[in-house]
Amino acid sequence: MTKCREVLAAGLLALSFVAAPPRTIAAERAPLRAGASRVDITPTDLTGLTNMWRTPLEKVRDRIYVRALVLASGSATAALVAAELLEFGDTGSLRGQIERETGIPADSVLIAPTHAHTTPRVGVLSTGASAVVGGAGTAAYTVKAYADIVEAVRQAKAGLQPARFGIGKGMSDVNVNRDEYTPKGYIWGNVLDGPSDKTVWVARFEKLSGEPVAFFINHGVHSVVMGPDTRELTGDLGGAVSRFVEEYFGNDVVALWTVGAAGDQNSRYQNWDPNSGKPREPGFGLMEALGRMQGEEVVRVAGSITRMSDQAAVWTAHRTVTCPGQRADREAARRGEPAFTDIGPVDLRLSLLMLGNVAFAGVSAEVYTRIYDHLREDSPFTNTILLSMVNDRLGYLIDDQSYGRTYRPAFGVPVRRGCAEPGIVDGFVEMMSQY
Amino acid sequence: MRRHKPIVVAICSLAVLLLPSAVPAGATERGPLRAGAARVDVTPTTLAGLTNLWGTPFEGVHDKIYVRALVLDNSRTTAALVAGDVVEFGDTTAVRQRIANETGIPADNILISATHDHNAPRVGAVSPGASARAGGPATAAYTEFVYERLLEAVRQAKARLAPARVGAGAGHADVNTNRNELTPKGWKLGVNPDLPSDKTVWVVKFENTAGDPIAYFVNYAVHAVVMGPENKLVTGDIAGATSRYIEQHFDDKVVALWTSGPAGDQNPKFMAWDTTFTNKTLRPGFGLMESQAQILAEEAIRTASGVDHTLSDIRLMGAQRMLTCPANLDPRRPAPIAGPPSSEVNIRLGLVMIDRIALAAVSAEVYTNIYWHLKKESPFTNTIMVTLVNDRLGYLPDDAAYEMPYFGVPGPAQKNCAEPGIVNGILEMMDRF
Repeated sequence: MTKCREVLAAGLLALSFVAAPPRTIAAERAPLRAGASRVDITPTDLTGLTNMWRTPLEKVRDRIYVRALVLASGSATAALVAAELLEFGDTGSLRGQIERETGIPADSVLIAPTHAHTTPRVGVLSTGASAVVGGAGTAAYTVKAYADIVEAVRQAKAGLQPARFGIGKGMSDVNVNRDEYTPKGYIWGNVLDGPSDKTVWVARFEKLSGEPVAFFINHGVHSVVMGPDTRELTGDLGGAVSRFVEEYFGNDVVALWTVGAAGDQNSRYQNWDPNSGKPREPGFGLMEALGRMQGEEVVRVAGSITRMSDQAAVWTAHRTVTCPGQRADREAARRGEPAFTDIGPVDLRLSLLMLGNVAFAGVSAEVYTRIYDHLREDSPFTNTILLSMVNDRLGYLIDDQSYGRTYRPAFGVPVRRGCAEPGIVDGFVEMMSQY
Repeated sequence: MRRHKPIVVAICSLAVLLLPSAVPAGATERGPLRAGAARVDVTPTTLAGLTNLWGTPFEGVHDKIYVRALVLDNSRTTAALVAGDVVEFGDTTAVRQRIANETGIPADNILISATHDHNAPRVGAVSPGASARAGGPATAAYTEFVYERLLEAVRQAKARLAPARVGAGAGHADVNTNRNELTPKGWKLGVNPDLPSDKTVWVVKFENTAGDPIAYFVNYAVHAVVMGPENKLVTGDIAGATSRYIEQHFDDKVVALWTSGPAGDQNPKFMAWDTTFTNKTLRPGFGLMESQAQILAEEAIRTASGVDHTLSDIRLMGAQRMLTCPANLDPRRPAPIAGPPSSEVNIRLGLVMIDRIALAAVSAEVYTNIYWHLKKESPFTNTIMVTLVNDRLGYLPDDAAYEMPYFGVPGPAQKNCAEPGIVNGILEMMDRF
């Protein structure tokens, strides 16, 4: 077990870990029911919508979707939502809408974007977050996307039926650590020996007759095969994986693709040079190739899952970890002065969904690989899956020992050292101990 | 996930008799943990008639050997973990029943493991299908002596039950090595860093409410055979020395149970004798034994100090079942040294769940790949395999290893039974937790 980081200063600790009490719903093992749905969320009007780099989106290359998986056992119901969107702001109001429309408690809903950089963002920015806010076009699209997401959850819940599930993991070498040190400092690179989790998690949900209902997929990678010059809306790598899996199994099956510990991970090949921003090749072929490689691995893993269970507890818990916030001042950094200034407290949201002995651990930010390694080391559950950007996206969360390095993403880290890593690990392990 | 072909599953379904034992109702409810531990000397008072594993008569005692017991209670059920510095135990059913009768600890919740140090006596009779040196009247007398002491250890441990916390950690030590080496004269016992070897040093730490340690449950995959066939002095070998080092580190206020992990294909990296060709002593050896034990002990202590998450309110469950496999009648398999021949062999599987720490017990010497297969499929991160528990059948290689002329291959069970039987059997018991 990794010991709590020595860097934890007493003052920081005192500020942090203002945690919400864990939910006290007892976990009951009962027959599992599952329902899934997919709803098209492709904007009907691209006016005012941009990709992450502010390039206006001019046409649709492939349609984007929200996918919902509703799970029920005994009196408990929970929803997992994966949307082919750049990011969500605080999903509190959306989850409230879902609760009102479907009865699924807002605290039992995990909403994750695929973080495709060539799709719009939705929602407003939370304290500590840095992103392109967008204007009226984004606000209008947010309303539409929210309505579609509520509808997806409603459909998935309406489709609840007795089901069984199993978990498997494969390996996919489509991601790569991107924090490369050069004589000129850190660049976006291709660090083959840097931390990089190659795991592709696959949870298979099927009817009692054996027909697949849904696949939950998770991998630590940024969906950024397509770069800043891309003016065509696309779900990028994540969307391509979902599409491949759904086409393979038949389009009634829903394949939710979610982002793992991708804070320091890019796709191994891209159609652009991330340092200069210049395009290298058209790119969609590359995106489909990488998507197919991972999709094939998902299909392979799904076929190898032999332990299926039709009985499971469904249990959720959540807490907020409040950390001392910080904001980058690049000009000060250039002058050799401290690169960060203090801001007020920043809230990290942790959302835990337990399905039997499988842990879905959602964090409202982009998490570095080593934090996930630490969590897996301390988690009592072999199958502990980290989902980044669940219910909000604050920015990057680097592991404590990486503070001080001038990684490109370091300027987007919203909290001081000594809070996020132990807060995430201890927060989840403590919630798990209540299960 | 690793899968078995349908035909394998079919064979196992036919040939493997899995007899689940009853799990008491409410066994997996949480309750306040209490733990107690004790150590009792089992050094033979007379050495006459006692030999090491290779049949060499003992002439003296280098270091004392012990049984160590750890009793756990969560107000709903109790369990006992016992580790003995002996070569092996035969079938422990009778002694576990004696413990159950005397202490109330359910017999299915008791794991009695041997540290398998080859320079200590064996205990109990050799089970059908097993290969071992049975010993004569002196072994029988020593067996009864150990059983009495073992009961006393459990009794003492139970009497010391006190509120406690538990947590698990995994360290790393490069003290073991895969021992199947290809030499110019063929596959021999040696050192092979290219074949599987699990370097994990598992530590389950029990401490009182003040944070002082009560007991360490240590698990590592290595044969306790630094000392070889020509040695004539009783010793706990690397296992006993590891326990001793940890206990002395804590001024003997801690009981450190050393247990053997998947050591079927593992020897210490450095040994006092030539395992490959001559079996002859190469050097005095006890210093080497102490050095390697110190490394293991230091890693266990370091690992325990890094355990961040401990629990005082726990679920506790014990379960056992029998895996019956067709006996291996392969002509390559050497005739049993003493075990009665049998058309089938019984492998005892045990499971003690200390909340989500899984102690998965097997009554044989298990190859690394079987453990890795179990770990891959187990839902619990802290899945620890304890071997030579409640009996010792012999070697259980993974199915793929049956094609190789490794030491211990073919095992006492036919291919396609032990590996899926162990993995599925343990997982099915976990399902009840």
